[in-house]
Amino acid sequence: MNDNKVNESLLQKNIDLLKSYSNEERKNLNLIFEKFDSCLANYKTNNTKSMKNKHTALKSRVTTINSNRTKYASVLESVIRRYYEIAASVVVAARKAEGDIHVDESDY
Amino acid sequence: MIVDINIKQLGSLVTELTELINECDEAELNIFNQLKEACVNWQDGNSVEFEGKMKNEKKYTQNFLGAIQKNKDALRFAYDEYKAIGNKLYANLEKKSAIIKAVDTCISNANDVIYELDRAERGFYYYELTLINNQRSNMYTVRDNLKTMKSKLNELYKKIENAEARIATKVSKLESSMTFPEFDFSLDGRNG
Repeated sequence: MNDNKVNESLLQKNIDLLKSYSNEERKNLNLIFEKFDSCLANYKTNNTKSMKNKHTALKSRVTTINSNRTKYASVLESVIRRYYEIAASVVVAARKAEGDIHVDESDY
Repeated sequence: MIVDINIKQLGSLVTELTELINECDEAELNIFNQLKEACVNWQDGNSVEFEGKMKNEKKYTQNFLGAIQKNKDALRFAYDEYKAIGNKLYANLEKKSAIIKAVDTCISNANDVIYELDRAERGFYYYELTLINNQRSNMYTVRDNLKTMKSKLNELYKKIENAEARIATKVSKLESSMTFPEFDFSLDGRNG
C-alpha cells in the first residue's frame, strides 16, 4: 500500500459520517419493519399471511446489511491504522539511517 | 374468510412508512457518497478493488430498498381498494350466504304481509281503512329497503372479494427471497 495516497484526516471524516449514516439506516430499517407489522395488524384478511411472509424474507437480510456497513468502516479504519504503522516505521527507519551515517567529528 | 381492516389507520401507517423509506433512501445515498469520497481519499490497488465491491453493494442495497418499496406499494394498493368504503370494515365472508338468505326471508315475509293486507276487507270504516292503507304503504317501504340492503350487501361482498383477488395478485408478484451477500474484503489481498 502506498501511504502517500492516504489522506488520513479526510478518510477519518468519511468513516465518522459513514458510521453516523449507517446508524440512521439501521434505525430506519427497524422502524420500517415495525411499521410493516403495524400495517398488517390493521389489515387482517386471507392475504395477510402471504404479505407477512414477504416482509419476513426481506427482514432476514437486515442483519447482513448492518454487518456489511460495519465492515466497510472497519476496512477504512484498517487503512488509517496501516497508514500510521507505515508512517511510524518510516520514522524509525529514518532515525536508524541517521544513526548509521553518524560521523563522530571529535577526531577532526 | 374474515376481513377485518382499520382502513383509516392503515392509510396513516402507509404514509408513515413512505416517510421512513424516504429517510432510509437518503441515509443509504449518504453512506455510498461517503464510501465514494473515501476512495478519493485513499488511492491504491486495494482502494480500486474496494470501490469495485462498493458498486456491487450499492446495487444490492438499491434492489433491497426497491423490494421494500414494492411491499409498501402493495399495502398502499390495499388501502386504495378500501378507502371509499369508510374508516373500518369487518366482514365474515363465510356467512355471506346465510346473511343474504336471512334478508331474502325478511323480503319474503314482507311480501306475505303485503299480500294479506291487499286481500283485507275494504268495507271498514274510514279509520280502519286508513290504518290498513298506511300499514300497507309502510310494509312496501320496509320491503324496498330490504331489497336495497340486499343489493348493497351483494355489492359490498363482491367488492371485497374482487379487491382481495387483486391484492393477492399484487402480493404474489413480490419477491419471496432477497439476495444480500456478506461483504468480504481484506487489505491483505485475500478478498472474497
